Amino acid sequence: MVKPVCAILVLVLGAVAHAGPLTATAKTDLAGAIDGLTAAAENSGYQLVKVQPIDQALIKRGYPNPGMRILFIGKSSAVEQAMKANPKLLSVLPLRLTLIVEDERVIVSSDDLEMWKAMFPDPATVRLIEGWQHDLGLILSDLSGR
Amino acid sequence: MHVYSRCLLWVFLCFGLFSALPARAEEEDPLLSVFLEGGNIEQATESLIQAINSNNFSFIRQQAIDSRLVPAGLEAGSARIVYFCNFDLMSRALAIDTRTTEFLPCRITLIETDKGVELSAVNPAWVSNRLGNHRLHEYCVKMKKDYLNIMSEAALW
Repeated sequence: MVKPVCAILVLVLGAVAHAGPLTATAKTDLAGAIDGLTAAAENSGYQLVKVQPIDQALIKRGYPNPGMRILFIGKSSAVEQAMKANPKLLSVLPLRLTLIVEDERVIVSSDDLEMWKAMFPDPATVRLIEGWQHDLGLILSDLSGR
Repeated sequence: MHVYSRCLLWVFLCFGLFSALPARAEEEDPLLSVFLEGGNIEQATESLIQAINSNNFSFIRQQAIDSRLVPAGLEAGSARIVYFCNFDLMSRALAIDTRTTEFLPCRITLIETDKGVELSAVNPAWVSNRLGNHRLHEYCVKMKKDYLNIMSEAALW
């Protein structure tokens, strides 16, 4: 009985350790999701930096609508901390969120920051990334709760 | 039956331990970087934009790393981001895998030091390695080459 329980525990812990991108779903349209994310980001001390309308850019050039948009959020302290802890992390700032329209809902997902922790395992860098993951988690759950 | 359940247990344990380890991108660095000796961030930005245009990409915009996060005029002068895109490549890559957005639009970060300017970008091939989509990986390997061409050309100032 103990062995199967251990096996299940290892499986569950494995899934948690390999968390991947954070995601949330909002029952709204694209504009509603952008407004909701902007407000949720502000609640966690972040600012909307840019909405990248890749859907409109592609449609304008005759390509199919990918039904998605990219949004960048950031805060000045994150930039300062990255500069001090590990300037290589500036390559993932401002933080990116992808919005995908699916039926009458919008799925939002973050970049997979988990891999950056594996690549830069020094404690200061890991702490910084975990802070961003925590913030992104709060922002996305704030969005889903709206 | 006893042997079967023991084997099953080992399979579960091995799978659990394997998935607990972070997926590692094989033989790819997470970042592509090129150092431009001498010069400043303004010159490097100008040279980079020329290299982007000459490599069949469209320059989208440039901004300070903390643009819109601090009052206008007080942005950091030593770090900047240049965004660019090849719309054909972007459309095809998105059609294969929407997770491509993790490196779209293309962006290169410039950091000025007292010895020159470092250009760095997330390596698309590193991203696609861990996404595990072989079709996408082809595009990402090409995109990696494009990034390196652009950055190397920018270094020829």
